[in-house]
Amino acid sequence: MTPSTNPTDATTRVLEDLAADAADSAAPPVWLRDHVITRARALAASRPLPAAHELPPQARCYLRQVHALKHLVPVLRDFAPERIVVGEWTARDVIAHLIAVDALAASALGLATPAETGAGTDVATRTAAVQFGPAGVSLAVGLGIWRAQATAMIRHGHAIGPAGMASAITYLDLPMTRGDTLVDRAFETWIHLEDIRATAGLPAVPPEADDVTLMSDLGARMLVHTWGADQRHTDAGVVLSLTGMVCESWQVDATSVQPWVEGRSGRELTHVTLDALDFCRLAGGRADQEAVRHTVEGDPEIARLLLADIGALARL
Amino acid sequence: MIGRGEDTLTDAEVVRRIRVGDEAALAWAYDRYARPVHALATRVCRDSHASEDVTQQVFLHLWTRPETFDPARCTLRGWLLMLAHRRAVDWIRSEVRRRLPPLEEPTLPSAEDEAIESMMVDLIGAAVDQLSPNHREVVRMLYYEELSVAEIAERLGIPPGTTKTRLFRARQKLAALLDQLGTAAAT
Repeated sequence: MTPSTNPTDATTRVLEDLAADAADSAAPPVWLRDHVITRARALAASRPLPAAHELPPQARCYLRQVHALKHLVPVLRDFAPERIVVGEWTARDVIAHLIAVDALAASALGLATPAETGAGTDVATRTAAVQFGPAGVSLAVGLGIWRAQATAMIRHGHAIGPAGMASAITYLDLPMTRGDTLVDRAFETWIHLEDIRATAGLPAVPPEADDVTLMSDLGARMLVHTWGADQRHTDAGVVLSLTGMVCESWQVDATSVQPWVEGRSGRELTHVTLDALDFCRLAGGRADQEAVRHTVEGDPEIARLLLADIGALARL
Repeated sequence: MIGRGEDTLTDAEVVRRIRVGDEAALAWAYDRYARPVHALATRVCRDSHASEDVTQQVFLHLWTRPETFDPARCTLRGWLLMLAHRRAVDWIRSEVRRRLPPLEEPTLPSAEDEAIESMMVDLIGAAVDQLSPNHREVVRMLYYEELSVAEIAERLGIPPGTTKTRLFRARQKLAALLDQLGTAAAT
């Protein structure tokens, strides 16, 4: 008898049936999945990263900060082990924190996470797992883990391209996009790079203008989670205008944040204007709301609440 | 978690992403195909450690050599199953070698990956040829002609229940023959 279909198809069907006969009793152990992905990550370590111009803007934004931290590794290695970089954190602790939050992002993106980061969605718990867990990673080991994980996220951004950046995920218990998640990682990496540079006596290096735009755009949109949650100004709206490297205005209401269009709201709104980099530093917990330069047209109390809410973004 | 919102990825898209190093695409493939791959490896090796190792090898092969998958020839799932069967047979061969005295002439290394598909086609074709005429007939109708049980029953002029029983026994025999042939081919 001559087979009427592709013999490869028939072969596949036979193998499918063989697999199906054993499937009920042969689920792979749960640990095998992470083991496979971790091996894959190690095998990929020597592959070159894609060039910046090949990446969607959000992944490029993160790539720039990853490169910047790589360049600061010699500075980190020169720090005395007990030298404080920010708060009570040494350089090793800062890297542990980046690994932990990156792991939450990686998980949201569908990537494997390092075993050292433990489990759950609490940032402090996972940071402590890296710092004080059984593995208790050193700075050198931590940098390797951080680099591999950051690289995996950038490769993912490259693979899914600009269209994939818009797909919705949940990250830090908030509705985000894949692109937002990469911008958030770029933002926090930059904030801690500033900590490291300040500790080392190096000058601050702001992100490129395109990246400040992405970061401030994300920060402004996140204001809906703080502004809407505060009962003191539920009914109030405010216009946030950013200047300097960015020139954008946002209308912040209790239920939405959207680009401001003059006259659309039909009511008097308080206008608050500040520099985009100051906005980012305030959102990252690296500026004092009382000291940050800004101008107000309208209700000063509403402006004060807005600045406080920008500062609260660091705790989301 | 993996592939959230990406349930409709095509094989070609998954492999394209893997080629540029996207772990999420590998995880997507693992989440969908690790169970049948591991089941087939378990079916052939009958050893839990070996089947875990085979499963790992299959997905790391996909990761490191995605270009060897041709979506025009078969599905990703089918290709992974062929890889799994081949790796499982390789494991049996290594076990047999380990238990036998060393040979004077070393056996040639395993076939190149590109030959896996051809080998599997030959192996299964040989197993089908060794079935009894009644069993061979229903197996060919099921797997090669893609007929349903009802269609096979109608063509043979036998009740569907009898057809199901004949298919069940034919598949059992085929599986046993594949085990024998796979092991023999590997040694």
